[in-house]
Amino acid sequence: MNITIRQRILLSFAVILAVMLVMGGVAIQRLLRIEADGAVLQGDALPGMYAADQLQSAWAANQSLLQAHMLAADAVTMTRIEDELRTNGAAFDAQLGRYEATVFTADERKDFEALKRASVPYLAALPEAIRLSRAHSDAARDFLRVRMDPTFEQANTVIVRIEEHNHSDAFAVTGDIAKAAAAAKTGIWVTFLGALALAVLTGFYLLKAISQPLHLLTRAVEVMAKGDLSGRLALARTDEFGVLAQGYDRMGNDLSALVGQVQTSGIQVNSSINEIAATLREQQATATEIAATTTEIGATSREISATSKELVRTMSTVASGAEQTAALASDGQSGLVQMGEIMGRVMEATASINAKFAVLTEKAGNISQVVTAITKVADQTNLLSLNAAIEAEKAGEYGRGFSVVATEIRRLADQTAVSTLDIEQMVREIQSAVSAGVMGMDKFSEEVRRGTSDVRRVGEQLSQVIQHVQAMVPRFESVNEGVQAQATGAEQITQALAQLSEAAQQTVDALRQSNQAVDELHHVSAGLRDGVSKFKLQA
Amino acid sequence: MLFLLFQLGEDRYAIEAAKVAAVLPLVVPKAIPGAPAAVAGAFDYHGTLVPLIDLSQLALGRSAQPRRSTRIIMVEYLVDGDTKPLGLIAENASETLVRDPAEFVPSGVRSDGAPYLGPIVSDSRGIVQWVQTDHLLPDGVRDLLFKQPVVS
Repeated sequence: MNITIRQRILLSFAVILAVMLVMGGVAIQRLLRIEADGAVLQGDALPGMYAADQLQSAWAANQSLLQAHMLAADAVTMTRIEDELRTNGAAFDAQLGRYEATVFTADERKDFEALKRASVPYLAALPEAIRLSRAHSDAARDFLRVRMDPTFEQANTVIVRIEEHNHSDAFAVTGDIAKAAAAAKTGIWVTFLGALALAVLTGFYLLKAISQPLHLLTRAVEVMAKGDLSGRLALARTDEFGVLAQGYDRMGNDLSALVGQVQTSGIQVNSSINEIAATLREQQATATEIAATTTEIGATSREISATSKELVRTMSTVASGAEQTAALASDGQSGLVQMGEIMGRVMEATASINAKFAVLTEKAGNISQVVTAITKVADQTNLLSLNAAIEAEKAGEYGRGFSVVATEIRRLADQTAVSTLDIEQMVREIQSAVSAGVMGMDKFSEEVRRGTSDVRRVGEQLSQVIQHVQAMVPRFESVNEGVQAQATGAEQITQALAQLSEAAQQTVDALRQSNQAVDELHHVSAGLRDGVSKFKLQA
Repeated sequence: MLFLLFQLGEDRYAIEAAKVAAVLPLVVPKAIPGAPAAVAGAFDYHGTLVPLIDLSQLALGRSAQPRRSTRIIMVEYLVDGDTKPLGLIAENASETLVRDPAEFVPSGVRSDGAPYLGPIVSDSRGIVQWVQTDHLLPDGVRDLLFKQPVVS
């Protein structure tokens, strides 16, 4: 049933309002009728009855006054009664006119006309009766009895009839009013009970339509209030409660996601805080080191300052030393020129020595050839002596002397061979010495050449050195100034470092405070985690 | 009695002069293809082709060093009661030694691979061992050189 709660409420009120309208309408109608009856009572019945009563009393008073006139002794009283009679007559006429105004129906008109007719004979006889009365005659009593009483009774009868008529009319009207009032009471009661029953019925359905989902919602909200975010309603309704349930479910999902994020974020925050704390501790240690280092640097800077001052003194010494160096370098340059000339002469001498070495090598070769020839001869001699000795041995006793000669020859040959060996050895040594000498001379002459070019280069360098040294002297001045500035700068650095040291100390304090703050943050984060962990999430 | 001295490596050896025909300077011999390594070749001696044995090759397994003192010792080699000329290449064959054969004493070591090694004697420069030229060649080499007609 696709009816929203708003529509339900409006519908219920509409039903109750309609019933009340009907009830009110009915009651108004009844009251209007009662009002009309009342108007009739007020405009017709009551005035008519009143006027009839007045008529009747005036009529009766008239007769009483007439009788009193007849019984009166003196003239004064008679005159007073006659005045009263005239007043009474006028009052009767006035009452007659007033009653005429209340005449509406034909019966009343007829009675009124009859009254008027019946009153005329009495009123016409009234002056005669008064005159007779004045005369105190018995005729007056007869007249009263014969003439006045019948007409009086006739008119009185009509008046009584009019009175009764008006009375009955008034009773009829009041009876109608009572009946209408009873009917109105019944109608009002019926409509009131009907409206009550309808109101109860619609109220019951409205209550049922509201309280059932409201109960579900309340229970779900209580569950959620305890921190359990896993519950979902999933109400299949299209009214406001459906919307509310969807909202609740969406809120549960959002809250679940949010709390989940908060839980993960809490863990991340915690680890981050731990990292920050570790970093802070490191920074603190670093700041302390910086403070210590700054102090050391300050000491070093002071040393630099002192050293710079010494350097200034040293620089002036160096400047004078540089001038001396320039002078010495010029001397060295002229010495180098002489050295170059000597080197040239050494080169020439080396060349001649090399030529002599060549000659020596040739001679040694000649000696070697001679020695080879001698060696051959000695070898042949040895061979001959061997063969001779063998032959002499074979000749026996005859060859004995020859054998001695052969042995001697061989001994000489062997000595020759040994000598030639020595000579050969010596020649070989000479040759190797000469070749070594040649090589040495080559190397020497090479080195001399190199030395000459070196000397030349050194000379050039020395002239450059002289130029540079001469150019350096004015620079020394500027260096001197620079070093002085450096000394001043070092002092400033020392002061600045002292301030830096203070700042580092302050940084250490600040870091300690940060550390405390991080500790507190850590507590807060733990609290946050505990708080968030109370929430039960959907699995 | 006269002995001719020579060297094999660092050791000195002796051959009795009676066995020596002559001492000749070293020549380049004609090679004999297929012959054992100890046979250095053959050379012309007074019109006769004489086989040449390298003693260093025979005893030590290496060729004799080509020195001026390395010479050819011509010996009379006894084959079946007949003597044949044989050339021996010996290092440092430039001295003689005079000794009584009774002074030689047995070496005390018998070598089957070298039956030509005889008794020993010592002098101021050390020990000298007698080489018996008759037992110099192994049977195979001897037969190869002397039991066949020499092709000239």
